[in-house]
Amino acid sequence: MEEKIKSPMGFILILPALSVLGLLYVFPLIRAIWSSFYDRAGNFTLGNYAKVFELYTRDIVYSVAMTAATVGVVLVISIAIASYLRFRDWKFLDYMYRLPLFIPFLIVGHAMRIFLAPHGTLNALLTRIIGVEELPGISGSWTGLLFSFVWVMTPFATLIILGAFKALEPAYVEAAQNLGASKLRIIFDILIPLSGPSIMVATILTFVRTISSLTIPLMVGPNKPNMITIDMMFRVNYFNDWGVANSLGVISYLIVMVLAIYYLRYMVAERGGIKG
Amino acid sequence: MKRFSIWKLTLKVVVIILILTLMVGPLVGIVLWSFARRWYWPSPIPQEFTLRFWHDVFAQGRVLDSLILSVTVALITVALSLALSLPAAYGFARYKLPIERILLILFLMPQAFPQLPVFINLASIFGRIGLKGNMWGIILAHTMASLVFSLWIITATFKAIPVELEQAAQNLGASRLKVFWTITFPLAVPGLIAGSIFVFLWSMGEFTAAFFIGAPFIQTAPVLMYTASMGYNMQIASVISIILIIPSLLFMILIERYLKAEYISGLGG
Amino acid sequence: MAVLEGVNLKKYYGKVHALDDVSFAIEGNELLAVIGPSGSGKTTLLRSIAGFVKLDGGRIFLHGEDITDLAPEKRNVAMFFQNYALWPHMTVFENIAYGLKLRKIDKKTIKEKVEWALEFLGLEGLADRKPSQLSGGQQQRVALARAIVVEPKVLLLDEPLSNLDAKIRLRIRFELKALQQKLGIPTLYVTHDQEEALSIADRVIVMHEGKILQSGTPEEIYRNPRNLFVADFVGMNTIVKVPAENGLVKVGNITKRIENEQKTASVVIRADEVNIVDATADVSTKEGDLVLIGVIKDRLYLGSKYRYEVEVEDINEPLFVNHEVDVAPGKKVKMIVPEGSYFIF
Repeated sequence: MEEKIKSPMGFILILPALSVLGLLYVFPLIRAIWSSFYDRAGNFTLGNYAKVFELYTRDIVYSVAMTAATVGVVLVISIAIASYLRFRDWKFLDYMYRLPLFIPFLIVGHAMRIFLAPHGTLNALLTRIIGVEELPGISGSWTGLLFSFVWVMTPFATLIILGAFKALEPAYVEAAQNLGASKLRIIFDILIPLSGPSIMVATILTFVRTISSLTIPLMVGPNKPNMITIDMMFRVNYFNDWGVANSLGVISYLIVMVLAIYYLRYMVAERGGIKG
Repeated sequence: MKRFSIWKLTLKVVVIILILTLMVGPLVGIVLWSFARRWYWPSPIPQEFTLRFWHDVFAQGRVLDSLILSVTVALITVALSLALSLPAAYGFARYKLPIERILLILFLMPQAFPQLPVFINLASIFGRIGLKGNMWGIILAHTMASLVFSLWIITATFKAIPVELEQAAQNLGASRLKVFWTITFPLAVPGLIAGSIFVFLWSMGEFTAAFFIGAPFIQTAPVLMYTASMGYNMQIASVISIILIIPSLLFMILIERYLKAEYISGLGG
Repeated sequence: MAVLEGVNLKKYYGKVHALDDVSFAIEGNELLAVIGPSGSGKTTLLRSIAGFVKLDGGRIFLHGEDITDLAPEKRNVAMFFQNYALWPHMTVFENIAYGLKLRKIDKKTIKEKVEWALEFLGLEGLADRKPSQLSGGQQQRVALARAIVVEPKVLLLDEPLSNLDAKIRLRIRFELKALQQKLGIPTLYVTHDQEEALSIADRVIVMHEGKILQSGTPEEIYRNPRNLFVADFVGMNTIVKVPAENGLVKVGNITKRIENEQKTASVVIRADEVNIVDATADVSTKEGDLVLIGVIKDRLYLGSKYRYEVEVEDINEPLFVNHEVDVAPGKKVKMIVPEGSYFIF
């Protein structure tokens, strides 16, 4: 059992950071929720939400579907990579999967625009290989957006899941092997069930990061339908309509609510993931 | 197992090419564009290469200014973020706190919920108090957002230092402050450096807050890159991208052992 | 034909020879114990048989079939893990049934076999518990059940008792021995506890620095150790160095020829097997008994006996021996060490 110091000093040490968080995070957050219920004249209204559902129902469904698809693909790929690296040490793959980890999303968006455009580098390469000219580009479509999301989200999810796989007691895996389980069986019978919480964390963080990403859909992706982050930006930049923008923001909070609560409970139980 | 198999080798080569295409391919396009004078379809590489755009970026006022602004913002953000998270991390790592659950939830929330609404409203608040279009507005937003992950990186660093090392010094008569500066802090330096570089890179590449708070009056490098890319000025956009990518890639290779995935979830935007 | 045979096994970790040309065989359904201090290579040996360690040389045969290059999951040698490695997300039943399910046995037979194993190990009624709800002793038996239920050709036990309380451990030794005999599964048993190994094994292998120093029945190992290391590793001993000249060593009344050209020799004495009498007492001794004269320097009370520090004539180091009779410090005594209770190397 670790001993912790009981003293008001602890709270004093946290106070400056807490104040900044309160002023610059909690206050704008409350203001976002608050102003989603007021019109431009300052009267209470549900009109903003009515407008959101009138204009953006399709975009909300699209955002959730795109995010869910991203999470699904990311999970499959990252579990596959993590499983491979759990059993085999392949430095090349180890570095390659982590390549996008620290690259700013905006730049990923720019890179994907060049890579996936009809006359982009991918098609230039494919043309050479299969000899078909004028392949369709996917940079302006949902597939291009999905590809870009998966590209930036996978390393992060893999890092979490591989960490969990590697932290597992090796004897759990060896015991199954010893009784005759193939690697594939071990992945499904031992590795995945015993890494449940980490896979859940990877799922949640991928979901939140995807649905709240502005820059990737801004650079890649179709004009219609839009991710709701784009709608928020347009509402503010072109219509100066904060009420509707904030309603969209609140809706994005509601979409992630269940996952966020699970995440917070899990992390608090782990003391912020900083056990021991 | 050890027998040489032509099929296995072929498969391996194919897999390697596929991985390279998917992972490195997107970055190759940027590099080529940054040197392209003329590049018409369907040539796989530009017809004419030039160093002009690289030269322009460092000579042209606007691009250079935006880079200098970004570096300035990032450096001040690192300083502020470190000044706030260092004591807070020590508090979380070593002290029994009142309302600990609530504090933990507060400091974890920015990871669990979308950031965009907060940035938009921050921009609106800053607009009223004259911080919009102001470097300090961006710095404050970046400090808030980076605070959360630098806090958890540094907390983990402190936690990794055995309490006994501090208690041994205390036992020999050192005060708490003395213990911190002579024992804990030196041992935490690697983690602090990692956290600082991380905050620096994040701030350098951050777009959303910088865009809503700074634009159109002042433009950080990512905002300028966005404008250039949207205006199909691919070369300038690519040069700025490369300047921002190189440190990120170096960091990725150097840093792995200091970072737990959970702490870097604030990344990207 | 041996059940399990290892021939010239080699494993190197850099410059360290974890297995340095090790050969062994298990015959019939014997229980073969491998003992040695940590780092002696005994665990590497066990893990190489299970297939978790890739050998740098040598072959392993199971019933004459070469299994050296087989993947661990294809070997049918069930291993018991030191920390039990019970999967925490599965119940006791699921843990035990896992190996059977992989063998594509029908559900009914699986249930019968698991129930037999539960009963055999006295685990009735615990089938639906999770491993975390079991005591250490129960966990240990579940791990054993999981290993034996697949009817392996060989059972590999890695320190099976080391995670149990000292008191339970003594009792379980007998149970384990009885169990192994009842099942008749050839067993390789790795432990650092020499007493445990001597008490339950049919045959013992002593390893040190990747080499087998001696193998034989527990009695042979204990009564006839081939070198200083084996003599010292088994039993409770006190060791003193004495000078050697021209291959001759003289201790007390005994003179022994040793083969080496060494300047000093070591005398290993089984500390519990020394008779202490008054220096003047006239006790009959047999030919080959070692008789030493000394003065008691100090005494520790151990409960059933005393531990004495004795200053022996002509020997520069103190001798530590145990005896149940209380002798006051300062007294001059005669110590009689029977033949077979001391060794000179």
